[in-house]
Amino acid sequence: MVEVFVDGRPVQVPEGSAAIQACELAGVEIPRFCYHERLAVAGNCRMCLVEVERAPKPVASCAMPVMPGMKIKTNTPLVHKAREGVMEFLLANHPLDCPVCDWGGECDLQDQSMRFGSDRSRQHEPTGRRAVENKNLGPLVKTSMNRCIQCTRCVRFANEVAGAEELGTTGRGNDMQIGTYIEKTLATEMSGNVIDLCPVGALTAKPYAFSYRAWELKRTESVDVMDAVGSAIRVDTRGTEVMRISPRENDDVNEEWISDKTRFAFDGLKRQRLTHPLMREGDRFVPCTWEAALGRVADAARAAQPEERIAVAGPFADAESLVALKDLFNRWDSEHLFLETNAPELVGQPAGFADLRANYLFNATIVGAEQADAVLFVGTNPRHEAAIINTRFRKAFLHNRCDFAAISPEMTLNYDCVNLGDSLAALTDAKHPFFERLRAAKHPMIVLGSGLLERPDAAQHALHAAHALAKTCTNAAPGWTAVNFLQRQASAAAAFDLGFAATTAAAAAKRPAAKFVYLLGADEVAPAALPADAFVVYQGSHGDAGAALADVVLPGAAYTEKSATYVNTEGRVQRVRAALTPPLAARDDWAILRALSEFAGTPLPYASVQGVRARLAEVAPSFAAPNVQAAQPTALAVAAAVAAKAKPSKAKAKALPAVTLPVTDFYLTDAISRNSRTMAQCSRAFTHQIAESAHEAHIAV
Amino acid sequence: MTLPSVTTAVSRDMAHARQRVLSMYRDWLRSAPEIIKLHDLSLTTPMVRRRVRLEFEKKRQVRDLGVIDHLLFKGRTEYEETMNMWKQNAHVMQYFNEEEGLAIPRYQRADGSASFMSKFLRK
Amino acid sequence: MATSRAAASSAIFVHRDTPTNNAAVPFAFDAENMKRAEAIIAKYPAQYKRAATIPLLDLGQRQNGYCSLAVMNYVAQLLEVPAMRVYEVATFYTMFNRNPVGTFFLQLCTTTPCELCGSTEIRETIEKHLGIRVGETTPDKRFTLVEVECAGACVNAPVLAVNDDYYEDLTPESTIRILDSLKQGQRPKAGPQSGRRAAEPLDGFTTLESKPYGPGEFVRADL
Repeated sequence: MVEVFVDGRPVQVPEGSAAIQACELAGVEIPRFCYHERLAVAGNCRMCLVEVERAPKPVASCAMPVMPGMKIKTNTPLVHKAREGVMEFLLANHPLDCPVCDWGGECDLQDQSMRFGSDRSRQHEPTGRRAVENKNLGPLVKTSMNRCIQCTRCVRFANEVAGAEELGTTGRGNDMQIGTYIEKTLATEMSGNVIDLCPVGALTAKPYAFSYRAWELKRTESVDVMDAVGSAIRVDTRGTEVMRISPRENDDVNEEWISDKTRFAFDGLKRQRLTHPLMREGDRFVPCTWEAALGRVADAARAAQPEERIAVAGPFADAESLVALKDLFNRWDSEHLFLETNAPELVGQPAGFADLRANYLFNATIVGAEQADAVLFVGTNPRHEAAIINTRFRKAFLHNRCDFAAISPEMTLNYDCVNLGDSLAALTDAKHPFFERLRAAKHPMIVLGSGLLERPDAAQHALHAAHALAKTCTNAAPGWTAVNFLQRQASAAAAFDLGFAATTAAAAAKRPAAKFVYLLGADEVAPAALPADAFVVYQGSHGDAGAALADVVLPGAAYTEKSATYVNTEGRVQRVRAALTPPLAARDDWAILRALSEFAGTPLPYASVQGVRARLAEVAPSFAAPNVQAAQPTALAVAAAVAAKAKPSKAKAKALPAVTLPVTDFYLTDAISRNSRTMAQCSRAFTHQIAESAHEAHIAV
Repeated sequence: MTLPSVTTAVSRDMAHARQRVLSMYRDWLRSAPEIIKLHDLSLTTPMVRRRVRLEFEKKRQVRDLGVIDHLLFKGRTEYEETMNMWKQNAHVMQYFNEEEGLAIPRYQRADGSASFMSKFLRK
Repeated sequence: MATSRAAASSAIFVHRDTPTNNAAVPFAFDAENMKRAEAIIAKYPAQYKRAATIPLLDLGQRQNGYCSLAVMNYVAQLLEVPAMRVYEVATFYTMFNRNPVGTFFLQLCTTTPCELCGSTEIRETIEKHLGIRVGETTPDKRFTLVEVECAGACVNAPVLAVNDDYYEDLTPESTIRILDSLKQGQRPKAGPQSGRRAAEPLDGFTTLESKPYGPGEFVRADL
């Protein structure tokens, strides 16, 4: 620690900190544009000038390392004059279009020019501001380059965090501009973050341009469910509509980034919504009352034998509805509960998989992934399945010289990754030179993907082989867990925690043909897996693939419309908060199941969300403490011991099918993103590389 | 956007009155989805339209021009109040007590307080 | 209050595809330049290979005539850096021509000392003689004229650079002579055109005229 003085007040700061950090610790706010604590220091906006005693001129506090005894002054006439001067230079070329700028009202430049700028202008000439042509960065980021003040935050973000090295600065001096030089869209699933980073309105959101003003919005702090990471988000609403979603800081999960799907897929919440209970009559759906719908479902459930009733949970099912569904089915003497992850054929889990938390969680934790120095991916593309965790892997790549290898089909990651083929035999053999590196690593990671669960035998084999491999990593740091499972759906970890997805493959194979199928937001079920005469109930928010199969459709709430609990892939229990009410006749998901239980004559013993949460904590103690990621040392040891007994044979590995990736199109993975216009445009522009036509580009601008 | 009021008028003859009634009837029918959205009703469009029809049917036998004009005036007022959100959810729902009535009492507790089910069905 | 218009550069800092300048045009160093490139890259530690960006771009510009997109992409590929890093360098330095120029690239210095010594006259002479304006290329693609900031030869102002050669102490007559001989495929003698050898005064030396003294002279005898 180093002692420095800020305006005469002593503060202790870690060695190597910048002067701006010392000022922040002292509670003094230093204006800045280019400085961002999660990005490299550029020192080019000069807004953070402060006076340092015995320095001949003002120094840029973001680029000035602290020295012992340094005396920083932030409130002197020199500093005020310096800030005014910098502000004047910045504004000399900044257009005065605040009234038509989307960033107006939450713009750093606006705020800081009010707070630190001069109170009058010395600019008289009617022309002479710099003009820069707008860049086409794809369907998400709208550019207005005249407003750019060249802070290069976006360039640093793209190069460091997102790994999209196409963005840079061209030209010099007054002509310097941000762009890609050649016509190119930014190929990254993190591009939306540059909108938040931009301190002016140069980069704004294209999908919802000109649709709101910052002060009209109601802010609700929530958690994202578009993947299993559980990024902290803020849902901004106006009236009954979600206007935008932006990230909140959570150092344990998403730092302050969110993926483009998290940010932009919300327009899917406004399309194809289920608003009334529907009943199938012939080949069309007819709206009906809750009474009629629930009555019909209850009758159908009663008509089926216990073993013939099955339930499948989709990606957005919250813990409350999962436990209600499980309780309801258990009351009906049925235990055939499945997850959409292995839904296409409804195969069930590998034996013993759901028994140990360590088997299905990302044990190294999201923060821990940063420390990794050798990572093996098995059947997973982290870039598509958990884009936020992928940024941590990229950090490991940049800072720890982490080596990556993948047993998967060819995939493009934003760091170097060796492909070891798509056969699980590569994992059992462990012959490739990469495995030597893994064994020698201090923080080795083997990441198993949720796509493996489509084949329980393959998943089982991969798990055992991974544990066998982890055992040979003798150099690993004490307490480090090498075997990790990466979930891709927000509901998965909670479903395993609650014993919802405990049906083993063996049990699933023995069950009779289903007569009553309850789809809790599950859309990926293969129609072939459901017998033609089965009575299918779909409960969810969107009229997507699952609803099309149904006999009765019950409208549920989307994740912005309910207060519910989710568990992320590392086992962190988090709450989403309701920003809106469910549309029209739609209801909270757990309440629908509770009401159905009443109609079926087997009422569930809770009538309020508090009651359900008490039940959650009863079933799985981890639910009693939200926002905590508890280490599972015992479970880990047991998982390793169980796996040690099984000898993964090489012959069996060869017989297993090739590993496939479950997500082929990052932008279209679930009911919400499939109904989002923005996501469809992204899929076209990024996944399929179809250029926007000149006409569309014109409209978008 | 606020819906403008309709000026009161005296019908010239039965044909004129008929035309004005039909025009108002169509306005009600057309607005059914909008009413559901505005007042966040747990009802379907056909249910609202059926209720509108029943309300009109109740007065089908009225033949007195003065009374028809009066009813037209009341109907227009009702429409304006509904569409401008001068009515609240409960006011609109008074028309649907019949539909609701089927469901609620069964789930009410003995002391008349709302149970989970009555709240669920009524929202 | 006196104000002046912000000077904007004549170059644009984004790429526009043309039939001859796009990413699909092939480019590679020939055998001789490849050898040179290897020698340049070998100067830098392997992990700082990207330090060779500027010399390699220059090499590519010399081979190709100008620094086309293909040259930049090729250099990026050779140095294993993202192409954007090379674009950044090439757009930063004005001496990389990102658009085609004539065989003879005339860079006329118009900064203060040259201006005072008559660079405006020289510019008018060239413009009149070649029939082009500053920034243009002759229709036969032989001459391109640009104005540059200080060429660093102020003692011999005004100065015109033709490709790598400096022609100094120019007068309208000597400029026309140089241009004409260039047109005929000759290579006029570079350097001052006034008869000076280098930067000495025009009317001969005024100082240091005597023979320089050798070792031991003017030294105490006892040493």
